[in-house]
Amino acid sequence: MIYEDYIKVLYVDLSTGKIKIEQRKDLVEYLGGVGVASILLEENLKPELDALDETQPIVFAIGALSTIFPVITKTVAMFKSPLTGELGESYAGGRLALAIMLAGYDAIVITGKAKKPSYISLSKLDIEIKDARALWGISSDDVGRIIREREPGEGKRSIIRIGPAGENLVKYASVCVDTYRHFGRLGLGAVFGSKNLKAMSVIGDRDLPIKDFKSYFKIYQEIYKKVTDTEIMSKYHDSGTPINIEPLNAAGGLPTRNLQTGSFEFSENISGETFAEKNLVRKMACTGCPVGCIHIGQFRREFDKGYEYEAISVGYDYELIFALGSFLGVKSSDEILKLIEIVENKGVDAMSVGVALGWATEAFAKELITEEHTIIPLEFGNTENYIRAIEFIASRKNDFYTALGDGAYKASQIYGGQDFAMTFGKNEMPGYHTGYGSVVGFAVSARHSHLCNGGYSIDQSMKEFDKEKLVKGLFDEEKERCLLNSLIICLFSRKVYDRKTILEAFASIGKNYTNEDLDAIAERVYKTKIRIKRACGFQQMDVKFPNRVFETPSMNGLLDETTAYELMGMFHNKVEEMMSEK
Amino acid sequence: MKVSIQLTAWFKKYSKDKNEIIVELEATTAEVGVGVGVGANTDAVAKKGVTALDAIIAAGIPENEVGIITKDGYKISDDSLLKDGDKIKIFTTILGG
Repeated sequence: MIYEDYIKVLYVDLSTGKIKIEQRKDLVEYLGGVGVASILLEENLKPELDALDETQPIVFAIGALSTIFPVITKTVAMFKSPLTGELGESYAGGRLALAIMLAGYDAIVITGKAKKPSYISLSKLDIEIKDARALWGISSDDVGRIIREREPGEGKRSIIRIGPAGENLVKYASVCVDTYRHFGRLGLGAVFGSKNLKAMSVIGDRDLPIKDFKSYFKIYQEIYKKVTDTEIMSKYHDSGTPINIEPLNAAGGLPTRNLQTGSFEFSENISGETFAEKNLVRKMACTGCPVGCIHIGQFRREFDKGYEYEAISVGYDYELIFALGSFLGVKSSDEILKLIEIVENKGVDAMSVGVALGWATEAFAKELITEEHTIIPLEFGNTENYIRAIEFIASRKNDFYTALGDGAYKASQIYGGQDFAMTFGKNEMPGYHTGYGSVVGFAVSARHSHLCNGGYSIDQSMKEFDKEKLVKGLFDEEKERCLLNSLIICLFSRKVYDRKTILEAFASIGKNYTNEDLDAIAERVYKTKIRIKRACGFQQMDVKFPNRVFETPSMNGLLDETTAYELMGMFHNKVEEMMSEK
Repeated sequence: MKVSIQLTAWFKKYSKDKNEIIVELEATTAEVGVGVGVGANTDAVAKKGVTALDAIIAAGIPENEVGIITKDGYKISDDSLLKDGDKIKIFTTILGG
């Protein structure tokens, strides 16, 4: 906690309704964010039990510098992932970090299962577990609206909630944060559902005066200037992440039609420019961010005959456009926004559901599955049927959609087509087919995501392919992000938060760390994550690459299977080496 | 020699909203020698061709903003040599977390 020598943890047991608050001095050496959350997960996890067992914990943590410096806006959630069966780690922006900080907590640990559908209402002086039976079964959007109307704290609160997919334990169900942000990946929504937990409202109603304002404001201004002056941040504000469609498509790194190709002939229709010109109606920011990268797009829907229309607004980002657009052969911005809307209402991870549907579409074309399974034909580009398929997944309509709701890995084990089920470590792929950096990066990263080590970025900057350099680049970045995610910065600003800046920011609030301290913290956190993975049974060298990544040329050309496994082995050796050090 | 640089949306701020910038460049000469420094023997004089990066710099586009360059639809590196009349297209760097 800022200005304190402890981490304040709130424990909520939904089974008994008991609350406990601890001031943990021993956690300070884990800084905050993912550092603190991973230790709390390790302490409370039952690695041998199913991810959806009611005794499993959900841990939220804010970072050591949360929200008092620019772009330090995120909250981390850690849990056992129902999708992968191992480390679950997901981040969301919005107002949540500020609300938790001003409610007076660094971390929240939720265990047990409520006897009936419930939601948690939390503020500085009050913690209540409330009846949510009337909210069960309704969309995440409506839940947000109802809680907003019923609960106090307007302007100071954050409301996080699940949709029907979370209630029905779809293993990549998401948790929506303040309407436009999400704990999207790895199935936190299903863990909420397994606890009968529909929502949590956090009111930040405490004041936290800055002590040495002069020192603080000096470094604040320096960071603010760096953030708002860079060309990268301007891109995030202007076009946002959808600006990626054009370069990735041009370079052949845009996964298209279940990665049958790396470029999409309709890419111009779904580019950042097209979204901006046709659909963009608003830009927003997470609390504490001067950039404002959240892009809200609007589409028109005819809800009745006689020219009866409504305007629907949803947030869009690169990953959603890839997963629900090029990956499914969907060729217009309006159609992608329609798919995002159903994803929002049902409460599933857009990336996982898009990639799972990509597998299903190809499996359908190859007749591994038929309409007896899918009820409706699944075809690339058929948006209306994809909307229905997402509804079927969320409601677990039949055995096939239940399997598809367990993820592309599980579904392909049952129905075949594992060579083209685009998962790494059982997690559906992100939207980068850029080279060995991305492919190996997904396989070795702690949560099988591009967000752990930014492999695509190494693919982009590496002039000549060098195995040692690539593996070192992935490993160093993975470790450094354990530090950045302990603060918790938005990774978009990672180049602004270099070590010097981090040390100065800490010093301005009276915490004097050295570079060596930060090195040690990063390694301590990474080791904790690896220990959790191993306790859950994860074995790095058991991870299999889907064959498709070697069939479809990447941005850097065709990838060789033997080389990919060799690189994974080299990374694994580095992890082994780290784990054997005291 | 003249080279055309086709611009994606982001770069149009460097071209007053036009879709392309045409740059005129001269190939420079460079001495290829044995040894280093003053007095080293010169064996040959080679023409140093114009690279994609030369063209981008000449067009006044900050090179750090360029992530991908293509020619005839194929990705090329920034040190690829260009010839008179070539058209290249430039794209932003890939962003993300």
